[in-house]
Amino acid sequence: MASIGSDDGSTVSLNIMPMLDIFSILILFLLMNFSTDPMNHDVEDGLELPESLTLRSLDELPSISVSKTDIKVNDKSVGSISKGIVDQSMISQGALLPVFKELKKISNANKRFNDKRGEDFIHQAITIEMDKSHSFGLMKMLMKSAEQADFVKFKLMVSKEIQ
Amino acid sequence: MMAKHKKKHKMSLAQSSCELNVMPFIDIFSLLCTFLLFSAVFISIGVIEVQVPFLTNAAPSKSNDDQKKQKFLDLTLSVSTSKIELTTKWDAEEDKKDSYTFSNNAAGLKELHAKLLESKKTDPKTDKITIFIDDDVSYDNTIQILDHIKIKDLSSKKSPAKDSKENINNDEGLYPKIIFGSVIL
Repeated sequence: MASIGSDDGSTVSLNIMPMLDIFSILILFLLMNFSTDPMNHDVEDGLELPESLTLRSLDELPSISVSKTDIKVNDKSVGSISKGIVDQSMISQGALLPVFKELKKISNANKRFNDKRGEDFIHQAITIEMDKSHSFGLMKMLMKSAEQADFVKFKLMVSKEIQ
Repeated sequence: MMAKHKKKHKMSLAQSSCELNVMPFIDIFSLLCTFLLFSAVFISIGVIEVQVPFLTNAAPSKSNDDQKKQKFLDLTLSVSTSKIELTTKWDAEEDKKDSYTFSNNAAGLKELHAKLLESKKTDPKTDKITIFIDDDVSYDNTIQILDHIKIKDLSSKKSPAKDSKENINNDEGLYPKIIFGSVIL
């Protein structure tokens, strides 16, 4: 017990055992939470993920992030969105040209890496983080851009719904 | 006199209590709590895997007569803002196909899920479904539909956990391979 002395010589004791109990339980909980998920990712600002019952955990960081106002590829802003609609100048043959250019750089880098290791080229997967209010039309344009850059498999990032 | 003095000293020693200084303990605990609270992530994040159609240069697989005789159920889903249409057809019977229409809301999705469970029982081998989604369908709605297609047991009370064999089986229970057919150049 902690105690404080007063002027008249009497001591006031503060019982800190409950506080230690709470601290120890809180720390146990936070340590377990910290260690169970190997991948930690802060969701982008201005973005709300849709909920899903999926059981697949996030295993790689998202390459494409689409918030309410911005499109980013590997944290580099490549375009802007206004009310869910992209600027027409970005669209080419149904795909988003700036997104395609950035993804093509990543794809070429991966191919060079595979060539150096003597491995065959395999179609790559890309993770997309997108705000739930956007339309499928925007998702389609992103997927077309990625498909042109040799990404045919997609991992759509969602927030896990716990029932 | 000396004996009395010693006895008094011993009694006073016995009466005084030992106190444990817990202040350093509290310091460490509070620092650790602060650090863990700031680094904790309270939103659990997952992924849903999908695919788009693509051309490949790989040689076609050699099929023997047994494989040729096997029939596969071909499933196609067309999604608009108001309705969802499921079309099922055996690949060997081009002319014969069945269509089912559901409304694009919570009740309609439940009916769709029930129908997909029926189709899975008819042909457990098929694990692929092709989806055509209209551009104006929201992403949130798309994810809800994908949940009803991929997950067999929607009423599971299990909280999401790490990938383990058991969880993979539940997740891949219905139609794990989803192909977005509308994403074609």
